[in-house]
Amino acid sequence: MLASIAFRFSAGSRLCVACRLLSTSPCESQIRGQVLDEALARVPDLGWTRSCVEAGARTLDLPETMADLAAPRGGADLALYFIDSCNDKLEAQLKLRSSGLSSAGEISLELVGFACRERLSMIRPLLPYWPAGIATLTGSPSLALESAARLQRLADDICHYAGDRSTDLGWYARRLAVGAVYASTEAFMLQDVSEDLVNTWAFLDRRINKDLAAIRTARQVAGGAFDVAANMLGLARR
Amino acid sequence: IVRLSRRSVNAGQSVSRVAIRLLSSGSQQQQQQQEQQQQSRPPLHRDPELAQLLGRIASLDLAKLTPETRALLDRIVRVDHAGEFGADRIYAGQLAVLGGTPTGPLIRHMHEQEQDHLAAFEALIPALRARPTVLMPFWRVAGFALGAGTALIGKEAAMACTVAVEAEIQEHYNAQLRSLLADNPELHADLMRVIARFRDEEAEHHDTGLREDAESAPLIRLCPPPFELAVGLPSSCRSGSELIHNK
Repeated sequence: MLASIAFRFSAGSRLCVACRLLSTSPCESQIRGQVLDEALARVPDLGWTRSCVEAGARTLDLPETMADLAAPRGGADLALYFIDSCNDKLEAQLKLRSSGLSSAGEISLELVGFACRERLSMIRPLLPYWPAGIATLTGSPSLALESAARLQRLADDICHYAGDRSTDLGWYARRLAVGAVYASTEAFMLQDVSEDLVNTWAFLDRRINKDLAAIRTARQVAGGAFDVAANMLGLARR
Repeated sequence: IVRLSRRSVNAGQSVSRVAIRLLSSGSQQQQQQQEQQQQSRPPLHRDPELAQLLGRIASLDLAKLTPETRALLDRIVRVDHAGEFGADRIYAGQLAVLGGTPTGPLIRHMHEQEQDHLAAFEALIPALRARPTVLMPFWRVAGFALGAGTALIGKEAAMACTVAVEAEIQEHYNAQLRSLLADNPELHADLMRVIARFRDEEAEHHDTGLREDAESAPLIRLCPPPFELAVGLPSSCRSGSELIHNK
């Protein structure tokens, strides 16, 4: 049930952030984007709070009540906007990179690695403040569901542009695996103090080579459970 | 039976894999470039008319659709894919038992048509970024068991199963056509054409089943009403006998 709600959210989160929340005209969503972009520049000073969004509105000579429209839930909406804008930028990059990709059910681990590295690099400017941003998203069950939906959308985009065309349980297995790789690497990055985050990139490479090797080809993923059952029933070819 | 079912699943999947291999960049390029490329790419489906319709559906710009439309398309493609997969498995089960009998060629023909339908939805799942159903292993086993089980009772029971399945699927497709019509008729024109075509082919199967003595299946009036499965796979005996009584 939770999964179905999250998936329903993810279908909506694919749209521009503002259009989804406000169902407004492109003009209003553009203003919302500008306000929140300005607010993100002020996060180091004011944190993931409503006053940060108000400061962003003030910079654009807009009334502070714009903060209510742009971020009804305050810092949580600002954090969600940050995630969504990073996901949108990543999707645009992935579209360019994968235009020549053709696959027969295989996913390109290089593209997965590139996507994870790009997406994590987008957090780097706000890296010291991102743990507080994530904390705002744990405030309520609906926020937790929405952030899970963002992760699901990210994993779906990465798998799709890496060449996944599966239409069976492999679809779920791959997205779970890629989502887990990304989430664990992000968690690692938040506490990484190494120079230029070399430990994080090494962690990411290890995760991809170990965890994702099993889900690379469609035949392995889809046929796995079937093979187990067939073996148990004594109907296997071998 | 395992080998037969695997082979037919693989056959269906290989058609779709060949067909959807080059779909990944479709949404980004302009219409003209798309058409030029589609002329040089392998078709999305072995049927040229379906290939053209599917190509136009695949070229929809998903970012411009409203969340409700996205959710509707997602749900429709998922449910239809699951339904066609179940129907494919049912016919495979029937073929496993009745493949060598005189009705074998007929069932084989209907099975091939269902595989065409399945290939179409398998092409649409990545094209519309839809989520496939979680219950695939269940449909694989349940469909095959239903097909093989009714075929073991007899040819008439297998035909009764076909009649019930196709009746249910037709109702389903009609309901989907209504919801697509209510959402945005112009946008969904191609998808509606595809679904209407599939619905008409399912109607043919249904009438074929009736012609092949589905009504004389044993125990058909004694079947207790089984619970309806979530995706609309048949409550076989009940809807089959309802249909026959209502005619």
